[in-house]
Amino acid sequence: MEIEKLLKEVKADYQKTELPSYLKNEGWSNLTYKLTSQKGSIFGLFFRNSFIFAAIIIVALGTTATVSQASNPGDILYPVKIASEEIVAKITGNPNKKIENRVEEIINLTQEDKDIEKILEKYEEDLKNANENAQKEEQKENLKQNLESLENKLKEAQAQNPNSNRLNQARELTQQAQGQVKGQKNQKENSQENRQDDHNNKKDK
Amino acid sequence: MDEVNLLILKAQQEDKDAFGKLYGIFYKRIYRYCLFNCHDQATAIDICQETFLKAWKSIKKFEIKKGGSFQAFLFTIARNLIIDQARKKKDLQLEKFQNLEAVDTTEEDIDKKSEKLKLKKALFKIKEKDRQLVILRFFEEMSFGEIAKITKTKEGALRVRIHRILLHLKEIIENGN
Repeated sequence: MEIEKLLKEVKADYQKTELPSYLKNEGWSNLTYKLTSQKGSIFGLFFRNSFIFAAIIIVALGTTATVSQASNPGDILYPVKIASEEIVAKITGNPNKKIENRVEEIINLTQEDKDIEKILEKYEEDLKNANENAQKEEQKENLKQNLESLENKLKEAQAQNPNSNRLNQARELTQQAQGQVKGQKNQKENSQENRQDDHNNKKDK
Repeated sequence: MDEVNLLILKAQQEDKDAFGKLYGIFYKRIYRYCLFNCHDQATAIDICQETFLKAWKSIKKFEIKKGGSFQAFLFTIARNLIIDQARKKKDLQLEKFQNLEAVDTTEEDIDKKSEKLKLKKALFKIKEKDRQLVILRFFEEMSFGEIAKITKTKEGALRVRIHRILLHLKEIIENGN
């Protein structure tokens, strides 16, 4: 049989397809429940747009925070940098990034002969906070290493700019902080030794 | 303006009753088209209903002035849904079809039935999109112009394509491959 003739035969079967009673009796009435406004509900529109809006905000904030990391005091994005530092320090519990940023700012701005008095004040405050936060032995060791590396950076910067008093001040602050960390460590070691001695004395008695 | 176009215009103004009349005109054809492709009554009903739901949501995009065919509009939606469904259940179709045919015996001439069965089986051995073209052209008796709109192809290319599909079907029936 030719293919066209066969197709006609199958077409006859196809057109005889019986409709299920569900579709005949309830098809339209069930569908009509689902027919919402063609404009889309305000609720759906709000949520669809709010997701897009939220995504734009997140991307914009992320980009601003990243770009702000290169800013120095006086720049528009500097407050963003300080705010993001605070957030990172709170989330990670590690304030070392703050003092690293201050040292970078001090070095950059002394190269440009700008006044850094306020940054030095902030640096002193951040060093104090970092010291207070370093309670555990591991944190103290990290801070100690970090301060050593910052001291080296400042030393290198001072070698290139030997007349800068501000760099000298920054180094002094760093050294003081190093001394405090070491002092705390020594104090702790001494108190442990004292406790051990007391314990031994009691044993001897 | 004919009745269907008037109903479309009303449905575009969110008139559900008018859309209900359009449903009444076309749902049988959409259902049988879905059933032939899916061989599962429940799936065919779901796709049929989903077709009209999607048609309602996008009916404002349908342009009567540009000579749009509403049946082509509906069959485009149904075809896309069937293709999506086929992707999900790729291997089940032929098996289902064969089972259905084994049960469905009538008193028709055995040779004739055997030939018809061969063609039906051959239709499920060709590509999904090619099968849709055969159904639309030979079972739904649509013009090449309408099918070209549904499948978004050029009419000339479509004629050539359908001619090749028929040759391919013939070959499958004769050789069984």
